[in-house]
Amino acid sequence: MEPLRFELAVDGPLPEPRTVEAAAAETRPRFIGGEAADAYVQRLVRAIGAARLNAFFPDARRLTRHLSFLGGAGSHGVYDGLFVARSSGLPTAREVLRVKIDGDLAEDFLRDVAEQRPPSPESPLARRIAYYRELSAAEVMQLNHMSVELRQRRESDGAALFRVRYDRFDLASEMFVRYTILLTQHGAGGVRGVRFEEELARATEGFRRIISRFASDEAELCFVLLSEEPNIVVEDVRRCRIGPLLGAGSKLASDEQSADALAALLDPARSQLPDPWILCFPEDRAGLDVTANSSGDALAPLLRDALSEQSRTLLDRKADELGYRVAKQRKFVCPRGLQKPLAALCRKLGAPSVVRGI
Amino acid sequence: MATDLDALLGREVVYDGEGYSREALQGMVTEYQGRHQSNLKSLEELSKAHDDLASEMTKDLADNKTAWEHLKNIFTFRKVGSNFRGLLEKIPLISDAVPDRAINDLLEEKIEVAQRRVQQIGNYLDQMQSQVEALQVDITRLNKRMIVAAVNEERAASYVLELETALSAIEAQIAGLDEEKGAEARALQVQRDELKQIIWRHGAKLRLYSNAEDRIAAIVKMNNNFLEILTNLHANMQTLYDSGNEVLNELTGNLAGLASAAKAADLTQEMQGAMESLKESVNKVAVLASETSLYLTQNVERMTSEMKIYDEATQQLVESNLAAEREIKEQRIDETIELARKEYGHFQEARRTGSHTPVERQPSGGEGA
Repeated sequence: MEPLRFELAVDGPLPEPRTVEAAAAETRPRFIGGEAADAYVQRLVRAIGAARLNAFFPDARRLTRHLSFLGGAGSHGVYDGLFVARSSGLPTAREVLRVKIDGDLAEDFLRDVAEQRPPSPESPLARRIAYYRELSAAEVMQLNHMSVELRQRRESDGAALFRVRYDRFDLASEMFVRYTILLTQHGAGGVRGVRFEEELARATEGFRRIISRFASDEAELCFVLLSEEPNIVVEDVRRCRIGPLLGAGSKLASDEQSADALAALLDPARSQLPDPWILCFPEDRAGLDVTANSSGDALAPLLRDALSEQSRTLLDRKADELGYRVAKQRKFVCPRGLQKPLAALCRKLGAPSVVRGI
Repeated sequence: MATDLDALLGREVVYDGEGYSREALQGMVTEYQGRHQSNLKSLEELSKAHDDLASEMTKDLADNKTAWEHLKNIFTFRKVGSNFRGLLEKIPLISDAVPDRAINDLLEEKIEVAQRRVQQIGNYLDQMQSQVEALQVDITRLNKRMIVAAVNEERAASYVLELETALSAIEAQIAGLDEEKGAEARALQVQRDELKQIIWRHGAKLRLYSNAEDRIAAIVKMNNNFLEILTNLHANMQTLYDSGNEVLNELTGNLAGLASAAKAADLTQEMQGAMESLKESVNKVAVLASETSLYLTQNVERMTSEMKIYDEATQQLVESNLAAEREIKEQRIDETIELARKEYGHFQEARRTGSHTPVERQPSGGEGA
């Protein structure tokens, strides 16, 4: 696969923007209203359900419930549509956050209005009450949540083996992501480690902060940075994301060959589908058990493939020192009509992938 | 004459509407007293919520004008970290010193806090809208009842006046008779007593309807006051909601770019540190860090071009909102002074005429009073 090409411009300022309007048209979230919004949400929910995601991905049940509150139908008409991020094709951070905040506010709000005279049916307040009642009874996504699970405690050297799960909504990519980190901690943990309270593993605030800081991009970066922490040996970092949702005109951050082929699939005129789309589920992993660096992801190169020879050598030395290798893969969900051509394209690009059709 | 009097005595005066009794009226007044107390409490809470939210959301927006400078520096990779912290301090809410945490986490936190405030205001707006509608419906209903009471009052007054005329005529006739105990006199006395009873009965109705009209008028006046305050507060909250949304739209429209830059700044610095253990030349490590940074921020360039948080239009919007708010406050003060003068005038008038209650219309008392 062709590595990404960069024009290094770090020594000077980036070029001046063309025009604000032109740039805004490219990056401003797109608003979808009315029935189109409801259809969009339904498609997204169905596609996530069809992906049959494993435990390394964000919780599909919670996520689909979360998304189901978007748009007019989901919010009982409190909101008249939703904004979609152009980069990810998914609901913007503000939409995702909105459901979370409404869920937080629901209890107090319902208590307040219970003391007032009931509103007239179909009034904005009546609709909000119905929306909040449903939302307060639902389990939606926790947008920034970490859990630490003890896998084993070794008596011989006092080491503790943990599995850390960290769920977040990544503001940069506007996608839901779950990091699963396997690590061993030597010693008591200190202020930046995991402590034991009544035999239960509790992450300290310091530990939460370093995980939150380092688990914000590729699994490999998280592996390298976390390994710098004293008393911690990292075994495996896996990052699994939901998105982007590609459609006609989507920006594809991949090399020219794959971008052109994908653009053809997503072009209604060429794919002969009225509204072609592809939902991606990328996964990248850095681990001691990974035997060789490999990218089974046709749309994303490995970091080392995007680096210059000199920098790549440095990164490879670091990988040797820590003993890890990296692997990427991606699965897809798309309309049945795209399933075969997409699977064929992935094979052609040297990255055979799971493609499910609905 | 006798036929006229018989017709007058036998007239069936029909009063419109139902449910007018002293007990029902008192019950309504008591219910509204409770409701007004509750309205006062609710308005007090809403007013406080408005003031708190207004001070949180408008202060930083109006005062700071240099966020764009921070953004430009961030996206031209000049002292990214310190400029990001500077920018975060410009975002409304949590304007205290930024603690030593990942910039992205802080950004996320600030956006959430700002959005939470805006959504809280949205909730208040819906509640207030519902209260305004309920008050409007209530005022319309009460006005109708007041009209019914006024019509009934007029009907009763007219009948009582007719009866009073007939009573005066009979009393004049009785006075004109020589024989006080004669048959004619007795017949007239019977008619006089009957007239007095009917006057007493319809006089009570007159007082009831007059009282009801006054009481309802007082309730309507109070409701109108609440309605006015609520409508003003709603308008202020709407202004806050709109400006909050405007800022959030600007921020969140650029959020992915900001977050990419923040992440790249944080991670690249950390990567540089991690690579130093390889004992390679500083230059080589710096190149790797730069390339990693570019890898992480490959989309930043197009995102920077639309960065215009707190641009001129937003500034103007916020400032005009603040100006409008100040104008409304001034207007309120004028209204308050006018109200005080009017009330004082009523008191003076009441003292001069010896009335006890300084209201525009004096209540007529209850039934049978």
